[in-house]
Amino acid sequence: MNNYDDPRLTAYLLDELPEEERREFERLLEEDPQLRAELDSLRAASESLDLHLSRELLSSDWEIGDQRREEILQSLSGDQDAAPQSGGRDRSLRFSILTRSREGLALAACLILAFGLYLTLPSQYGNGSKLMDLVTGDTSSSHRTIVALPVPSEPGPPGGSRSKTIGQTAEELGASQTASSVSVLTPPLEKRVQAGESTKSNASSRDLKAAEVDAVAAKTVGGASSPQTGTRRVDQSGRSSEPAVGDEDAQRRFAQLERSEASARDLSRGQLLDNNVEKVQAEQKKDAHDRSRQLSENRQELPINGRNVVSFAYLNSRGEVVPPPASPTPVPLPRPNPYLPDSRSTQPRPVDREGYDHIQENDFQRAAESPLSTFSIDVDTASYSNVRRFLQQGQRPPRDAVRIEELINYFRYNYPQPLEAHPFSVNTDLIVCPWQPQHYLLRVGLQGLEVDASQRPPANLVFLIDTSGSMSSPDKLPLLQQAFRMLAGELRPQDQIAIVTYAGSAGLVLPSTPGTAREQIEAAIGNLRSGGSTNGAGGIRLAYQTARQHFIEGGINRVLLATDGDFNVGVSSQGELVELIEQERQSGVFLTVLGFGSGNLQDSKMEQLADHGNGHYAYIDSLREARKTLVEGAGGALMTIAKDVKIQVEFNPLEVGAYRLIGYENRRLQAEDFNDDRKDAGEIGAGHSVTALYEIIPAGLEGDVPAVDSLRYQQPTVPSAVAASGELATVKLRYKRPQESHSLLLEQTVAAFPLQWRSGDPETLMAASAAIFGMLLRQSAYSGQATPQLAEQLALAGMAFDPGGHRAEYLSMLRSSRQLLLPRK
Amino acid sequence: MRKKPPLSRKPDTQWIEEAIDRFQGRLIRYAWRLLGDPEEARDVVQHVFCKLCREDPARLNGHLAPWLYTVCRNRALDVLRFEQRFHDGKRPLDQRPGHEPSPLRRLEVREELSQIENLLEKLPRHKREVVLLKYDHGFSYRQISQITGLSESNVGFILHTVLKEVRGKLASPPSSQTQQLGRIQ
Repeated sequence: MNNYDDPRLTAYLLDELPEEERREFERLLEEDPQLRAELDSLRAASESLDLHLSRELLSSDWEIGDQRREEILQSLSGDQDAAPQSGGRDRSLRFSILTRSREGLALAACLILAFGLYLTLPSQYGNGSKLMDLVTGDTSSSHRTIVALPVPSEPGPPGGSRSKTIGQTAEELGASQTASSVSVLTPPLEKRVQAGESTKSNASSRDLKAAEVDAVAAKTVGGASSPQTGTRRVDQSGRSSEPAVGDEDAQRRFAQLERSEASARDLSRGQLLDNNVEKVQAEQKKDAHDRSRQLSENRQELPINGRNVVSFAYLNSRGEVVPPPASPTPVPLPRPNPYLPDSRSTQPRPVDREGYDHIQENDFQRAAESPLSTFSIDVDTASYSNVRRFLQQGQRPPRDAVRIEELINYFRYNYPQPLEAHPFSVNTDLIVCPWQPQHYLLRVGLQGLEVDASQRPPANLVFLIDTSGSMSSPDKLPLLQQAFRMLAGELRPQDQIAIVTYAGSAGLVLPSTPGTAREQIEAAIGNLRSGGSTNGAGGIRLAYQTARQHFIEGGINRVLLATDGDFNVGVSSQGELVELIEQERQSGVFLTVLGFGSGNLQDSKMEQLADHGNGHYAYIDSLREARKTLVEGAGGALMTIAKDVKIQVEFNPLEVGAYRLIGYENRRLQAEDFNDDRKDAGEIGAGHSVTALYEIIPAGLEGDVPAVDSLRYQQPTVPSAVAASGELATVKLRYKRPQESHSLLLEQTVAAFPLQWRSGDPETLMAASAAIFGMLLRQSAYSGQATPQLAEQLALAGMAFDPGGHRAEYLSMLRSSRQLLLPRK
Repeated sequence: MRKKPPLSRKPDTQWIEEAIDRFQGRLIRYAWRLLGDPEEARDVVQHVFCKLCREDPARLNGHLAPWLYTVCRNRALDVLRFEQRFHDGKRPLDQRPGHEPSPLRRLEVREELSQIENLLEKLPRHKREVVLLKYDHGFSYRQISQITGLSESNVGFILHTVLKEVRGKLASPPSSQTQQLGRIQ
């Protein structure tokens, strides 16, 4: 006889039972229909509760407001004791006074009265200014309107009703009339769908939801026809404490629009077209950014203006509710099938002579057996632009062309600038894994110090240009010439530039010349002609020799190698080339490898050269890409701020059952390499960000990860006292300053406290999106419940930060290549 | 000449602003539920972020979320204790955020929700808090235990009891109501 009042029922329902108990409990459920009935009735209760509480999320006013924000930031600058200028509306001060002086109750009472005078101010100010925004559409009006608003004549009691202020009336107006109602209704839908699984109500509640979606969308269209709506939205998310800077502001608006369009489209079922709205949107878009042009083909099907939502209903493109990714029963851990032939034999190579190294995806490792994960950072981005080239041609890239870490690191991330003595900041975040809800996703993000272009030390650059016969097609030498012209345009008088070419023999086309000699440089670039075979090694030697001769102490010394990688004369074996590069890097000259063209792109060769030559590898398929790599980073591609950067993560076996590093397959290091300063590792440039993701199986769920037998001659290790501290992992970093040979250590811990992914840092979500993109392209066995749609949702969440518009471009690429991303049958 | 994308904020305030952007909504919601008053909830959250300013960002990196929730909770409880000393401790819960749901939705949920609302109001504070952390914030038993200091099994027991109470309140299963409405649709 079972106990029908068993807390395990609830724990099972909420997915809180440890694995063994869950299996045991499922067996009980199978046997006992009454227990199942009990479970179902509790589930119904749980759904109602969920529905109710998600309704509570609906307020549009979940912000502390600008004034409070200002006060917080003032306290950051150290003057928190200063009296608030707005007239003492800091009630936190009031409470602290009271709790400190227990005997001073009389004083307290006086203070309460006195402060009560100001209690009605904040909401009026905050909302009042929103009203003004709504009316004027002026993004910078909030400060001025504060002054213009009347001061209330009647003081309110401290805890009393203050519901009928002008501000709230304004808020009602705003909330009911604007598109915010879209987001307002979204969370319950989503939550509900998530909660409802196999119950009877499922099908009917779907109908209901579809109907609601229509209702919401209709309402939205009505509200959004006010032209100010869009402006207000944008303004709210922007910070009014800071004047909007043209370019970035425009980008932000564009991102917002993009986001709102997408959520609107998801919600709209494509039926609701409102000319008025469309016109407004089109205007805003035009105003927002030129870069939106590539997305303009979508404009016709984006009828309504939604709100910048980060929560999403699970609706597919036709507006039907689709089952949520969350699954109540844990999915057995997928493992790569060793019997599956690798991609070389299963996939036709799209282009015959392109060379890619095979990538064996990282497996899950048990934290108890191998608690250390060590790898070298990688700022290469080539794989992303190479993959993009394939997708734009409507082809799936070869699996081995997809290096997930390069897809992730293609984007700039909005990590804080380093505060301390170190040249980069380390930022960790832990969320519930979007594609595998049982797992966590740990993000480790590095942000290199931004160096202003004017602060850049003098540069000694040597362009090493492949002018062999294979370089003649328009996407190679001509594009390369344009790219280098662009870079040469950024040079200053103190910079030096030389050009070395190599075909059958290597030659110095332009001896080291000051950056001001524009005409001379221009002529040398213009006169490049292709022909003959490729003697890569000869060119590399000559280029490094030239760089050494003009070496600038404390400056930027770098060889930029532009090639399709097809070396076929002289030293051409990969091993020998790598050795040559390793010798040359001793001189302190860094390397940038720029890959060009298609057809015989020797991807693996170029990546290796960059890795071994203290360098960085980018693939240039367009002028836009050239700009991103050579110009946009404000010297990031040129100026190294730290070298031999290694990351070692120690996982706490009490929290982590198993972990898997996503990508970085060819960057893994031995644990002992971490402290070995002779071991080469990746460089980080000024302003570069580097992101690594770990998928983590919480302790207790790692049952399916292969384990070794227990040892006969050794005792198993015992967790230390710190292991019970609730820490998930310790992240350690070693790096060297560019001219030094001793490494420095950075260390920090991560709490085992995952947030739901929808609450996660947008930057983590963006990285997760890129990871899903890569896993789908690689047809990874670990992609779990990942879908192209999930990648889009995550990318949308990350659209708020998009300098250069690269995320917007990524999103539009995701959308247009959905079919290619679906698993092959 | 192309301009370098400017840093959006001064680096030293950036992390605070980002923390505010990311967590203000959730913390206000949490404090609001505990205190029953939006303005007080915002006060508490302001206090939390002021306190955050005095912390070393490097030390908190990786521990930000649990820190914020814990500080927010402690502060809200301080406020509650303070108020219970000066007032009767009762405050209406109807000041919670409201909006106008669609008529259809109102029809569907009105009855059962008002019952749940009643029930939640009558729950002791610690139970209401656990329910909120689970359903509103999506935390695991483990995380709830970290924030509230209750044991994990206690958390599980509380949720189980509340679910049973909710079930008792629901006159008819919500699925049948939904179905009917679906058919009308």
